[in-house]
Amino acid sequence: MDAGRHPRIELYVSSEVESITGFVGSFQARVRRRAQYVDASECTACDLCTPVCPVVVPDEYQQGLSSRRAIYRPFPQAVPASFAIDADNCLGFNPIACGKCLEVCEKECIDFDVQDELIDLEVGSIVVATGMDIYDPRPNDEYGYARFDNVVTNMEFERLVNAGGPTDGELVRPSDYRHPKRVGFIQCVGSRSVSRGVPYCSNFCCMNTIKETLLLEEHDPDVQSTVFYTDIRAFGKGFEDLYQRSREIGVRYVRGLPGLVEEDPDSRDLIVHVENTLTGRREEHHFDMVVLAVGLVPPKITGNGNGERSIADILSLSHTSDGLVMEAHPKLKPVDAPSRGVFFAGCVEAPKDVKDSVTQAGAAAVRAGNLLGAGQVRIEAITAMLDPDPCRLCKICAEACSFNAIEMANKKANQLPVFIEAACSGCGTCAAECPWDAISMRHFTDQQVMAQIDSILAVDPMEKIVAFACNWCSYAGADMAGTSRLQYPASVRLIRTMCSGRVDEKFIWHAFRRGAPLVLVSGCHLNDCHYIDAATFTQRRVEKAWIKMDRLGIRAERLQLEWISAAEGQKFARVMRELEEMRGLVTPEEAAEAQDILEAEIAKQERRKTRKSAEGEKEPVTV
Amino acid sequence: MSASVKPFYCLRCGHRYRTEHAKGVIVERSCPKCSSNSVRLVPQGGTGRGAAPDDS
Repeated sequence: MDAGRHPRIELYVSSEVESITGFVGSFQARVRRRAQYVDASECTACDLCTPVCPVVVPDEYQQGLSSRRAIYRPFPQAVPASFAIDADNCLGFNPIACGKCLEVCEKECIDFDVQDELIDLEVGSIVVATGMDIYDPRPNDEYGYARFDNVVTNMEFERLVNAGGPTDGELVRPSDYRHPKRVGFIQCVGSRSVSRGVPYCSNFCCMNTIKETLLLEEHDPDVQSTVFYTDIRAFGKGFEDLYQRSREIGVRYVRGLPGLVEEDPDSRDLIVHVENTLTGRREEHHFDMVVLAVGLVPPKITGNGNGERSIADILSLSHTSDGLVMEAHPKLKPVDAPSRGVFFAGCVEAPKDVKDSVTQAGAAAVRAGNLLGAGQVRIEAITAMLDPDPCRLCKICAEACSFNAIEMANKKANQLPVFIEAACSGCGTCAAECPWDAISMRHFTDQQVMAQIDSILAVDPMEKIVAFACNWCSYAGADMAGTSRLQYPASVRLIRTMCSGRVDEKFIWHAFRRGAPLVLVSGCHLNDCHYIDAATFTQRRVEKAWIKMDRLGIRAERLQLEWISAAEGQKFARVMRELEEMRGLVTPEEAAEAQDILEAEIAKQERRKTRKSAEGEKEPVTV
Repeated sequence: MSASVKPFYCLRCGHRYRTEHAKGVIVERSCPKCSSNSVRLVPQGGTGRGAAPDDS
């Protein structure tokens, strides 16, 4: 509500971002403001319209436990404090079959002819705060939720005990409106499960349940609450105290999640069967009502396939395997997106409670404000550079860039692609993908990387394993192995690149030409890539190299691929030990033969290049 | 994109197995035996001597 009143905050309610172009400091956003059919500046929320509306539909805010009309106020504190028309259910459209609200509105602020509005905005930074969705227990019929009226979710329970809820805060059970005297709470519904819901802990449910047991005690001291849990996670200031208070007032905590919930068909009471893992005994509990602590699931962050694009697609946000958006750095930049000028607030980044969401929102606002206040952007010097001469305007680089840092060239107009340094994150995928060698990366040029390969293999190449490691994951994984004092063979020589996407195919061939028995390309797990989807280009490139090795007669086993995260120090050490074993299987003759094959291939290509050059054509750079 | 079951083999331990594969879709693969990510589709005939023999 403060935001709604703030003179420098403009709210676009019922609006959706359709597209975002540009880069940090200069984003162009196109927003579709959905028609609400009620002029918010005129509506005084006098509420004359709702009694005459004949349409009755379930009220989403009250979790479907009560109803609303087609003209309604979404919830009492909604901003702006005006009514809106639910066009999907209203009878006032195509043609007007009702229009009763129109007749009674004294301010004449209802207009059925209003259309959606497209608004173009110029913004310097973007904060993504799209939140999470609640796990839906219906498809899996969790604990009989889809069959038994008296099994409710924590959100429904929240409305039932709320003074502004459908029962004015009087807790009744849905089947017969009786006051429940025995209430069971089941934790981790849809959370911490690989097969049902999401694998992570939803963070807020334990404390929410504890709060609900205390609320219940306030409502009716005679109610007996029982909580079925895996483990209670009450970390944070004051939370343990709250948990202890809940125990002190007599709430029973049973460790173990129920295996079965049944309903007594006569009384509609619920019978919960559970194995108490502390006593090792099977128990049977009888309740008037059961509350499921449903967790949070990521919002749809991929397109829905109907042409609609999610904010993750629009902003090219990368996400983890859990479906949560990925930060630029989980510890040092927890509110920054990998794309500069984009920040996260709240559950879109990970499930969190109100306090943490407010903290993160504050941090995101400050980060965005600092950026705008500075008036200029400082960027890492690791950016892509275009050499115009070899460039063939093929657009491969622009297609490979997930940060939209390369603006497409107009081939017909013979225009070169434009590299936007402020948007470039420096992954180097464009440089590795360019078949014409027209792009170089500052501080990670071809010459610099090849010089490292030369240096590694200058002496005793058969004793070395050339390993490319990405800065954020594999290299950090090596660090982790080191700090954990894990032993791995000294034959492994790391070449750090910002991203595995920078590992050009020609680096691999160069290593083999210099006599490397084994080459490893390693990077972040595909779903953890710090450069959105750059690692997928790595995988594709390595797969292509394996095929080429088959064709040339070089054993594909000599090129290895591994995804190692920063936390996987043990995996790093294990992989290196395995590679050392494989290195021992490569004979000097085999390495020398590969060298000869590659030299012959290069000579062949040189001849082809010379011939094409004489004919005025260019040849892409391969081996 | 329709997926079909294709033969894969591990370039680390040599383990062969069959799993779903959809053309053009990049997914992280790991060998069910040694968990290596150096897993590739078994080349379908006509490849050079560097290729692993086709078992399909």
